Amino acid sequence: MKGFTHFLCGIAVATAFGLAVDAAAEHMAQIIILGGIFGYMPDFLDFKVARFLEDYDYEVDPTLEGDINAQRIAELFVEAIHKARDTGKYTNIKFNTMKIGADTWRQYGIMVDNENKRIIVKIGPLVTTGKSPIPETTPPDEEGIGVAHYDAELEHTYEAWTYADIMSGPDYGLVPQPKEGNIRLDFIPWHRKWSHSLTCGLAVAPFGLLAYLGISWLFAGSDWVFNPELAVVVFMICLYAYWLHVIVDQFGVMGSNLFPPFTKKRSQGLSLFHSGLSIANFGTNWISVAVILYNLNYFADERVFGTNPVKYFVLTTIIPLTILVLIRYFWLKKTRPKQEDDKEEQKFLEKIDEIMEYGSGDNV
Amino acid sequence: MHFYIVALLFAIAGTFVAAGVSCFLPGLHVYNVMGFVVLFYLPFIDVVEPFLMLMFLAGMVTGFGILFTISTIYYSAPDDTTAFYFMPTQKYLMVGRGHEAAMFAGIGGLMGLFALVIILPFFMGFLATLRELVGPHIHWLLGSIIAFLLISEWPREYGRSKMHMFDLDMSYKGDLDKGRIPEALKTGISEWKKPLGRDVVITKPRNFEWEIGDGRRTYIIHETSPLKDTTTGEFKSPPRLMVLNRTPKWYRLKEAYKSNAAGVLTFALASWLGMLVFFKTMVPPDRAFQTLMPTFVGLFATSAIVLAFISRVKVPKQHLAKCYDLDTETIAKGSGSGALAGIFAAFIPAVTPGVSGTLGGNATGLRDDKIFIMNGGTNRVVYYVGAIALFLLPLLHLRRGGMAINVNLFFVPQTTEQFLLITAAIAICGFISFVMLIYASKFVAKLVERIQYQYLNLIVLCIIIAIIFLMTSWQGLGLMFVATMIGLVPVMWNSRRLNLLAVILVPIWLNMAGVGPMIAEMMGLA
Amino acid sequence: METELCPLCGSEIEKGRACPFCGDAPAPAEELKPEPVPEKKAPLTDDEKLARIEQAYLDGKMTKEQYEKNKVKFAKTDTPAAVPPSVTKPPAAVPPPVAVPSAAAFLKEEPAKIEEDPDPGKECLSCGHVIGSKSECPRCAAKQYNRLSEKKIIAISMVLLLLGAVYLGAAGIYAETDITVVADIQESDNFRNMRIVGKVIGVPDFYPEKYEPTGVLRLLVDDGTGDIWVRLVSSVTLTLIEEGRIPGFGDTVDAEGALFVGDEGYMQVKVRDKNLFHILERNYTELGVSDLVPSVKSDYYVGQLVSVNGRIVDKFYLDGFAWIFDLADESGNSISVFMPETIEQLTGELDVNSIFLSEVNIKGALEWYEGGREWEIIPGSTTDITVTAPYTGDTYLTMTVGEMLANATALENLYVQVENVTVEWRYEDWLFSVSDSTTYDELSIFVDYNANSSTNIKEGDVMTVRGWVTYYDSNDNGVPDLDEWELKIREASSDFALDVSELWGGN
Repeated sequence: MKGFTHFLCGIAVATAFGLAVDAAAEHMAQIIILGGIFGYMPDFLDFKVARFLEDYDYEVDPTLEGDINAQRIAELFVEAIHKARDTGKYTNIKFNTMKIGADTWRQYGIMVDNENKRIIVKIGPLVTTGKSPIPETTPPDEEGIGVAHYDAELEHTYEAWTYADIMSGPDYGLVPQPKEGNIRLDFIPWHRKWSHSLTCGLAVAPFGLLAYLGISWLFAGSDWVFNPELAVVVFMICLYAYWLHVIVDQFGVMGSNLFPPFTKKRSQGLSLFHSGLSIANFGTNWISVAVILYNLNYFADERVFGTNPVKYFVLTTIIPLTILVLIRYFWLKKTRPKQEDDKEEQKFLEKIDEIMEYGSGDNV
Repeated sequence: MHFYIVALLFAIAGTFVAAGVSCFLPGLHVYNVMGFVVLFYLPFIDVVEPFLMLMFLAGMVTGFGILFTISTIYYSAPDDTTAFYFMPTQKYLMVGRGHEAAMFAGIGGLMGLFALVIILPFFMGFLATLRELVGPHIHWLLGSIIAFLLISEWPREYGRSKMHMFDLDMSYKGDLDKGRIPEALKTGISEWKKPLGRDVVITKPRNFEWEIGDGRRTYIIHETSPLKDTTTGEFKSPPRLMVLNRTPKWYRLKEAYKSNAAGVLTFALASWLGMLVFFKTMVPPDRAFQTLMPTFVGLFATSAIVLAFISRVKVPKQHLAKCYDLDTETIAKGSGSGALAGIFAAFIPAVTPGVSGTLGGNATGLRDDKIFIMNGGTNRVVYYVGAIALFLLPLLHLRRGGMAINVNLFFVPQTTEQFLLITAAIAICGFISFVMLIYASKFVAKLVERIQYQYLNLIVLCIIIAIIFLMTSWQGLGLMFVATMIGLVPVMWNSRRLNLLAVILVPIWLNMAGVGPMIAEMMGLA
Repeated sequence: METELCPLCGSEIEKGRACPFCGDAPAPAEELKPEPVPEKKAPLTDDEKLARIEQAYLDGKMTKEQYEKNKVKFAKTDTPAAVPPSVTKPPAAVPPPVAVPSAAAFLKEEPAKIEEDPDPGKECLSCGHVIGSKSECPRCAAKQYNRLSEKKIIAISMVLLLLGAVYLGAAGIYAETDITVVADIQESDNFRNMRIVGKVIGVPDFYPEKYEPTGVLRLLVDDGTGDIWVRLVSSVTLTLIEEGRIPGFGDTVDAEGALFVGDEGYMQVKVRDKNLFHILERNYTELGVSDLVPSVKSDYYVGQLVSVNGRIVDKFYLDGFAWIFDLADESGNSISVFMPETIEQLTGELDVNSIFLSEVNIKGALEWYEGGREWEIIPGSTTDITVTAPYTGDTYLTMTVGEMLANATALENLYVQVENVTVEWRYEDWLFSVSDSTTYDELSIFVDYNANSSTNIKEGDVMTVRGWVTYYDSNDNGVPDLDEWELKIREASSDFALDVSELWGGN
């Protein structure tokens, strides 16, 4: 899901605590904000911390070199595959982006063509940070394509282009599977390795509590009094908001490693939809807003509307969202050909959406 | 009926004023112009019926909402609301599609007007309920928005894991292949004050890379491919051997967060400026109601103009399209999310379309520059015009933003008749503004072609400086200068311009949270 | 650098150095390789030599000059430009052709059917770049099909005009403003539009403009629940003056305007539009002077509109402030009529001479004058005093001074003539006392300015005096004492106080 969706879910969780809502209304407390922050936290830890801490066996760094050599990149990828095959050890490879100017990057795409056992790399156009291509900057095919063949069994992956264009680029993990006799190719293997877990939530939530205690002490000064009930509420807000993020992401395709260090592998998601889907995000936000308003009303000194939850959610959430989904369904049926996305494709699309700030481009 | 016709004429006059200002006096925020108009009106309050003045302002705001895009696109002079979609429109301008970009925003605005005119009246009861419910919680809502803006900024760098130290001559490649460590390599490393110890081992773990390490430190010698001109295929320079050092993890994080640090700095500076402006009257007291004007102009307009000026951009010939690359789905997505964002901004104090547009874009997961621009156009119109509509909406009479503050000096809305009249004016002036946009955009596009862009920027800058000086004297100019410097920080360090909105978000949030005066005192402002 | 040709392969190489192509250089010992690569022993073909030349250049073993020279030797004319070789390519196999699948197939739907355009010089509809019959512009990526035309969007925007008209019509339905109850008005209603319907309970205040024949009118209006000031702006006042629609004390008015709240809770409704101020129909109650004098406050109500006939028997001008008239009936009862200067300014100058002593009809509102514990009439306009019978002179009762003083109370406000009386005391020509042989008491004579009277009156003069019987309450006890009765010689009347010698035309 988008970061904002998780943030809003965290706020919704926070408003479920009457003490927090009361403190906000009566005493201008800012506790509810912690719900949003901790709702966003797993993605923050992953995409803004963990990804920079990974070490790579193979790394493409065109900015350092001052150039992109498509052929060499393809060959490097093949080398990594062969190393994983020969050593039987986990090998990873990172494709860094190439920054040309303040707002200009050189795009290149990588494709794993498993059917023909080859890696294809193609240099794309110059793009802006918004991933808009700059016209007439794509090199001719003969200059910009590199092809390299590998000799190994790769677990079937979804065939698509991944792009190294803006900010940080994509990376792959090559996991030898001796039992199956092949190598599994993991796209962005560090994602949801430990951050999207319930145990991590337990580890991180106390920091939220400490932050709240510190800031409240700073403002209250000598008048500060420790309120254990409120402290418990703050801790629970941070924890549950974090956990809700993890739970919501389970509805997608990727899943996550839920109990590290006790578990090592990522669980499969419920595959109800891929989490980058616009309608999924919009719908979740809608539900969050409905929940927030319900809670604010429920805990208000003077309620503005009735508190029958069934009636409220049927009217405000179920009916409108159903109508929206139906509109979308018929619209898509009318305007687009039927697409059968398999699970691998969905998983790939989900990862693409998560890693790319502005979604995937199709310029190559 | 006679009064209605007079009222409509006033509204249409306001629209024409907005058109003139948008096309020829760029960078001015609509609320500043409104403030000026009200200032001149008050002595004549007994001569001109207040409701007629309100109609004039409604027409002006509607016109601004649609037409200000011209200022943003062609003169590179956005305000805090158009800054949100400023960059995509500049891209369009640079490929000769400036008029089309203006129309995207205009069509977005048109859809916003439809939303206001058709849908808003039926949401009166709901909005009244919402206001009552959300009223005591605005402070943490603002705080949440601020928190999200800060934590959602992405690191722009990728945190390189290798750092280039020096180059080794290609002739040493043979030695490396033979497993020998060249003296030049040892000497070079020593100069970096991290010499190799004993028991140095050289390996070749990858093609084109050797690793040399003593157990404590590892250095990588990387052979680059020859640099080639990708368009001609000619070699530009031969390959070289780069000696690299693995960067520690903290260094990668530091590299990655450079732009974020700039974003936080921007936020902090803008917050400081906002607190200063809120708690100290910097401009002459009789113009205190225009304190924010030089601040906003500096942060958004003049900084953009200065950047356009120094970047020596050459605007290509503009193609005046007669049809636009838009389909129903794009319009629906862009204007739908824009309308939601605009109503959110109109409803919540201190939140401007820039902020709400970012949140809306995140919330609906929409991409594409066209959707972005259209979203911005809808958002802006719904925000400004919606503020008037909400102000007059029976049951609600919501006072938000500079518009309500200005109008409240002479008018209080009461009746349903007033609301219906204003809505009629908005609809009619909206149509007129939209048609004017088509022709005004074409006219200005041709103007921009004839005048060199740098000169145009200079003229626009001079006009803005003159206006600021006239309205707020030397003090305002000083404020504008400081704000311009702050406005350049995100542009230079490639961070979000949205952080500049801390200038109003933070002071209002702190005041609503009850700690504004305390913080101001700590800052030495109170 | 000196070069020579390798005898084996013909490459131009540096003189004295081993040829890097032919393998006659000693094999490097313990060369580090990432993985073992099988060596090919077959003789080198031209292509292979070319590849080796290129590799040598890449390895820095050959200068660019040498490379170019050697390339020419082995490159075929139809060979395409050299491409840097791959070291990991399988040596024998040629890679299959690169069929780069379009990302569109995986990530997006297929574009809609493209309209054919045979025009190769066709420009992009968005950026003007020449693109021929392409469906998407390669320069700006704009679609060339399914576009929104300018005409279509203008047509769509016209719906706004229609909606505007609908809202205008709806506004007309909601046009009437509700009447505001004064008691419900709060300070927080500042700037709200108000409609007040009530009675004007005081004389309107008028603040004239210095150089304009208009000014600001201020009324105190009571709607039964409370009172509030209503202010008519200059333009509205001017209209009312021109139309003769000045509201007066006691009028019922309908005023609509914005409320202004001032210091210490002062509130007023400001009427800015002449069409928003109306004086409702005036209904006067016909009363006589005797109905009003004597009476108590409870007999009538303040502001009650009345129409009274009588005779103006006395007048008094409060300089710069107001005229006060005494309206009397035949029985001698009189009531005060209060005409503020404001009314004259608003409704026209009053011709006092024409009304004095004449029979008049006065329309106005009743005001209770607490000081005198009596009612007084305040007309709304100078035109509210109409002469019903102009003064032609009075009928005097001839009697002695003794008779007059003995019946003074009954004769109050009547007209009496005393003849051949002697001046007993003189203060001034306008104030003296007379007596005759029928009494020892003296009758005061008060002569109005410009009244018909002799001059240089001395004690002992014999005069004939006729005038209006009244009294001057010098001790302020409300009851006329004997020595307080006087005959008033009124100006512009048939009264006189003449020396007998003058009476018959003497000097």
